[in-house]
Amino acid sequence: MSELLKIHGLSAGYGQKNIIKDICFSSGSCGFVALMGPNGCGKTTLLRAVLGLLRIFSGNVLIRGEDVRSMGSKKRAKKMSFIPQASSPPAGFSAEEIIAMGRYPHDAGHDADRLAIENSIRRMDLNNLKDSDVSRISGGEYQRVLIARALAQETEIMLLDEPTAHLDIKYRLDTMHILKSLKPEKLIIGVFHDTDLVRKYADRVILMKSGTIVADAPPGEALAGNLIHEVFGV
Amino acid sequence: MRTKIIHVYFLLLLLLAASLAAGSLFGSVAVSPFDDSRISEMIFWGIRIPRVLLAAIVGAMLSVSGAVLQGVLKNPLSDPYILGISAGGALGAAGSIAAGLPLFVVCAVSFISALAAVGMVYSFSRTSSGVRPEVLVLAGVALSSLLGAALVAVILASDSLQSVYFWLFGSFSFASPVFVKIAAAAAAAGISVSIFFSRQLNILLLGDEEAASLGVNTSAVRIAMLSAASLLSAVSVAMCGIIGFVGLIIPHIIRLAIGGNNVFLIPASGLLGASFLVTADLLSRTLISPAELPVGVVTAFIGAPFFIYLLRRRTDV
Amino acid sequence: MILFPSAFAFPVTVKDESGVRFTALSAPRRIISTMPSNTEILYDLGLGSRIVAVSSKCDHPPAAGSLPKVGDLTLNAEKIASLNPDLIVMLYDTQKYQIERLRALSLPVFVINPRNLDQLSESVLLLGRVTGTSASARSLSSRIKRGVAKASSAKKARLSPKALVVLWPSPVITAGKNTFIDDIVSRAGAVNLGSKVPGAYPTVDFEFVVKEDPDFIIFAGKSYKKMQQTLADEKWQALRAVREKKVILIDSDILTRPTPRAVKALELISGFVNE
Repeated sequence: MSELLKIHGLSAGYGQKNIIKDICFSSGSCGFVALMGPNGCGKTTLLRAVLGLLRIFSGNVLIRGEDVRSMGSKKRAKKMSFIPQASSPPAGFSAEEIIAMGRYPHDAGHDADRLAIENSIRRMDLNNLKDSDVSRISGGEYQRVLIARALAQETEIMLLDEPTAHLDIKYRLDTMHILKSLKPEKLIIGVFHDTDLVRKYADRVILMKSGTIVADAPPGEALAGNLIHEVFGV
Repeated sequence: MRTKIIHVYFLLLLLLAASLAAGSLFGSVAVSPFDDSRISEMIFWGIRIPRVLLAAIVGAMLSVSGAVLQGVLKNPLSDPYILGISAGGALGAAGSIAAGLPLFVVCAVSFISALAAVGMVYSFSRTSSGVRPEVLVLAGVALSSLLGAALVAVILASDSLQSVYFWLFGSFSFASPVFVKIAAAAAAAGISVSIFFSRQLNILLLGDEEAASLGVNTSAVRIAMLSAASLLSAVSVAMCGIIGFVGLIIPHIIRLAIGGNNVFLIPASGLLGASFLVTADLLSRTLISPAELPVGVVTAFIGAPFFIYLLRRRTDV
Repeated sequence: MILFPSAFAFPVTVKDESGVRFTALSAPRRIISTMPSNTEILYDLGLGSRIVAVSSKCDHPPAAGSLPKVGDLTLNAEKIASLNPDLIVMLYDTQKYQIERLRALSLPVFVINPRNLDQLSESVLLLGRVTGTSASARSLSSRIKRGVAKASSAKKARLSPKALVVLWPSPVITAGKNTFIDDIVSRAGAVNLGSKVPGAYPTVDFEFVVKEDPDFIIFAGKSYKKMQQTLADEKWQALRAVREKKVILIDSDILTRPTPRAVKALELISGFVNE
């Protein structure tokens, strides 16, 4: 199994400030990785750096051996999709139009686009919502739209930033279930705060503190009592 | 939804044809293209038609400019007038006219000063989390007042009160075939850039991070779109003075009908804007004929109440 | 040739005061005047019957008031063109852009620009040539010159008195250097205080008025009552000229328009400052 994503010695941050230091990580082409840690530890920064949204001070991020910095933004978008945290939906667009935006990086032609869009609508059970104005649907429903968009983007890697933070229990579990079902096809890396959910659904946990990786192991090990105590101070 | 869009476009084209016809056939003097006399021909083709065409082109330019600004700045209250871009363009244009520079140079200077105004407004209101709409509008109002004052000073120093009238309220009375040609060229450039980037503009509305993750080069799109919007409003102002409300109202009306998807919104705004301004110009030259109302007064009379209505109606403005 | 000068005067090519050569193939019979001052001159030249339209501001002589109108600040190009004029008389300083606009439509524009009383005589002669009324123009021009000479000779050979022209009382707007009014005041033998300030029609603050302490004040206006109301204010009462009753009201039309009636204004002011 060749390496899909390899992060080597990555240090990145904002302006002159170095938030994450010397991050090393590698993964094959499928799996569900949870990124955890206290506030300010750099997990969102790490996601952003991998996505190419931040300055990298040293180190690199390679996707199948290719440095993400040397890819154009469209090529990057064909390899990685991003589902943000609470994102405010723009008014005047239907759910289907938002999902269709995921097809932008591909210059695939009308039929291929239609197929991908319809598949993701079906998979995320959005048929009855596809023509609704996204500024009028609930937060949970919009989250499903965002996941559908990421699906339509047809990328090998999916990056998520606290996708369940503002959802109630039912949607939280639904979302995790859907992500788990994608595990065999994609590499999913998500920032999570809920240790119970992570224990149940993820197969690898990266624990961070103060900008470095403290643990990189299956949930049972990484989320053991003493480690949690040390990292989170509880 | 697709069929609705087709219906709306059909209606817009019909409206444009009707207003162009009305604008050409009505005026302070009764002429038609079928008249024999040399004078009628001269009036119809030399005065009436250039004027109607210029009004249509400028109407399209201002509406597209407004639609683009509303998208790029994620602020439904944006238009070149409110943001001070028109004032900036007018200042550059008035200054270069006072210096006796030829028309083409006047338009170029107008474009550059409009860009400078956009740049200033944009940088004043930018924070690390993006552009804040309230700050943007306030910055625009402040800049607009400042530049407007400078504009009046420049005009009074170099010219007469009459010119102030022209610059601040607009007029199509200077329309000529040359103006029409330059306006058409600027419109073609600015509107085609806007349409080219319209899909990316949609994605930009999601927010910079999401847009970047979808492969959109956010800064390139912004620069291209802001430049297009500036070009469109600068050339309009250089030829016809400041005409307010068109860029603000027209995209909103279109949105009410077909939603916010810029791929359809931008061209539709152009069509409706053209019809609107041709009609406004017709009113401005017939209401108190043979005297003329400045067209900006007509657009304000129609636009301001409509704007208030829009504010009251929309809960998510 | 002496009996019927006009018959042999055409076609004529005259260079107007914007530097453009204007050719009249025959005596213009469909004249449009777009400035009140030009309308007055045309009527004075006896061309009243040949004027087909005027601007809505043309009010003198009264006959002009009943002619068709072609706009005011913004001229209605369509209306003008539909009247098929063969001569459109315009004033350069106030109508620069309208002149360009109408010329771009190939309309027969003829520009004069009298900035002072001497130039007025010349402009009158120019108009005479292009309209075939040179005889009337010559006599009108002489009348103007005589009136000017007479009023100027009344100047007393002593230190020139200081005069302030008030075009508007609050804020005080006066006439600056190189304006028609400035010329009138200077020829009357006074120093126009407004010429000390840059600009054609500068707004000055009242401190300037107090400091300069004018000997005479010339109010441009039509309402005696309004002038009295202004003068009743204490800051005006504090001025020496007001206390000494050295204030005169002159109809703004004859003071500000470059027409033969300006000679009347000159006479009035000359009499006033030289008594």
